[in-house]
Amino acid sequence: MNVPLWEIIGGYVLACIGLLILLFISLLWSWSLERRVKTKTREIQKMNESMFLYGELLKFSGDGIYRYTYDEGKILLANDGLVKILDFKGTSEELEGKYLKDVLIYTEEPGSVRRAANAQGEIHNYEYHFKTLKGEDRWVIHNSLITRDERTGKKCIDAVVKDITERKNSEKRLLDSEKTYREIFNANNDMFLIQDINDGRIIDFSKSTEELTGASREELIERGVSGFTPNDGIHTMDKIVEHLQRAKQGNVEAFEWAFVDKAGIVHPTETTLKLATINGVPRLLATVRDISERKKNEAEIEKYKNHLQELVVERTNQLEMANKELEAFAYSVSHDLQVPLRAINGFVQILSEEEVERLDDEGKRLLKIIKDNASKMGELINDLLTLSRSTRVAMKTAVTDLTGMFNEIVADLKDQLAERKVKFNLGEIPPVSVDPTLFKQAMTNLLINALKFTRTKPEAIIEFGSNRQKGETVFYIKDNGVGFDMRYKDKLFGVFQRLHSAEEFEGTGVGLAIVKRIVQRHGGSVWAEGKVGEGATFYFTLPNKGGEGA
Amino acid sequence: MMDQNLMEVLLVEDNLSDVELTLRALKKNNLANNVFVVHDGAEALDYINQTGKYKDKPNKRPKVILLDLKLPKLSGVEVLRALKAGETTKTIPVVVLTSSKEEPDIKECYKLGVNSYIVKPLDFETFVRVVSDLGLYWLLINKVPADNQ
Repeated sequence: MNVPLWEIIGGYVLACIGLLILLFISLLWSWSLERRVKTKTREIQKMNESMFLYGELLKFSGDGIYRYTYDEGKILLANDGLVKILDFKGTSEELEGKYLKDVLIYTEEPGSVRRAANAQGEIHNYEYHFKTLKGEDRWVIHNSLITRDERTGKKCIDAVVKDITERKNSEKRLLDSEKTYREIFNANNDMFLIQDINDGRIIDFSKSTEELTGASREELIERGVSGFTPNDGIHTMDKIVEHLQRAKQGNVEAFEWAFVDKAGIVHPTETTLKLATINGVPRLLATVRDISERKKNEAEIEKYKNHLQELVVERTNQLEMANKELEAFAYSVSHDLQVPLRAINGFVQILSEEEVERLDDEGKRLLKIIKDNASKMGELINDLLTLSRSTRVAMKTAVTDLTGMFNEIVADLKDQLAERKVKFNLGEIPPVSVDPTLFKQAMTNLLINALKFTRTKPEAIIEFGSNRQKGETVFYIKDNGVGFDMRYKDKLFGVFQRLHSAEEFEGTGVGLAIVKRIVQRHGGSVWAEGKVGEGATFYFTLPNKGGEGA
Repeated sequence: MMDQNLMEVLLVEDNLSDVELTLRALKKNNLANNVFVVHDGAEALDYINQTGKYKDKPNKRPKVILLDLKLPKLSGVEVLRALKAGETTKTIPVVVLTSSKEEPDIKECYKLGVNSYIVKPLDFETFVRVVSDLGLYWLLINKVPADNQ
């Protein structure tokens, strides 16, 4: 067979072309396949990355991310965040398949989250409270979506919950502390006002402010401090502004003020203005104490004080009257009582002189009794007058030498000293400031006393001296006479008090009372020590200052 | 009634015992007869001024008036004040003879111009001595202006 060359050549050419075409097609396919594989690989890679990211996020997010069935609350998916929020003892895998009611304690009505969903089935920022199985409070914010589980086709909820328990607790603590502060603020009887540092505007105040002013919260804010200022010339806004200015500079301003309540009654106050930072803002804190009651009491005391002065004046007048009466009485005594006494004395004397022949011995004895009694009464009257005079006469003090005075008295008493053996011992006596006339009376009485009660001794020893005791000079007149029983020492200086019978020792019982009056008028004191049979010592002091004359 | 012309002492004393004791004391020196006694302050002034019941009874001015202080109607101090204020009576010597030794009385009397102030002693013997001394002094020793007669 002969095949034409052109046919053979043509056949080869065709085959070549076919081969080329085939090669081209296979190259094209391979290229497209490679492309597709590349794309797919990239897709898968991308998907893997996303899946990884999703898984990681799910796992590590602090928030709880989970899916649970709408009807039963069965957890289908959960992350570690949820484990933590629920304080679940186990892994997130172990949580899956559990029912919510078994892993937490509801404190809200079931279904509250579902009911919070909007029309699109979305739940936004829903604050939800529950307790962990341990009983701890949990606050979360729910951001959820009602959806359908692809695998089971069941209605479910995909939820992201954020634990806000810590924030809630802080808020609560803040609220509590605010409440406590408020209570303290309001519980006090004092008014507390928080004022603007610049214009003194009232920003806040305690409940007591409303009670004390009788104004409502709105009125107080609206009328401000000026609305309650008396503006009486003393309590003016100008002065308030001055105080505010000073307080603003950091001074604690404490001053007495006043406010007018709604009824128009003015209440005196004690007000303190102080700079304080309240809620981070510098403010003036005013503490206002209503001192009406105290002022009332003070006024009362003042009244009593004035009344007391009146009383003193009244009593002084009464005392002066009494003194006048006493003077009148003394006058009467000195005159009226002496008149009949002189008559008795006189006529007894006349009788015993002129009618003595007609009297028998008994008559003479009776006459003598009358005479003795009359002269005794005369002494009493005289002593009483001396006592009264020693109280009444005005004192004129002069520096006096008591030793000289003592010697003078001894000289005056020379009649009584006749036929007596008396030894006088004089000690060191500093000069004193006394009324010489009055004091001589006192010294005389003391000396007469000493002489009288040493009468039974063969030799009387009378000592006049002084010594220092507890920073003051104590004078004494000491005798070696009959002494006295210390049990009666308080009676010694009383008027008409006597420790001896008239038969033993004569006397009216007024002498030492006079001594006491006179020493007391000089601001001094007098006392005595003694022992029966062993003499007596009479002490007196004369303060350098004090007494009526000083 | 004693002879007015012999009257040398006017005793102003309301207490009859004191009057008698005074007279007895004066009598010891035979001076009692020359004493005229009135019993209250008003009577004393009436006697001296010749008023009241002494209006129509001319009498001699006394050489001395012994005046008690505590008297009915007018007190001795008031009598003294009136006597020493009267132009014609102020030259009559007045001796206050009283029981009062109260300083204010003494002072007041001297301020008014009393010529002497005597406290009556309680003791009768002393009283007699004092009163008779007094009588002797004012009636015999002391000289008064001639127009006092």
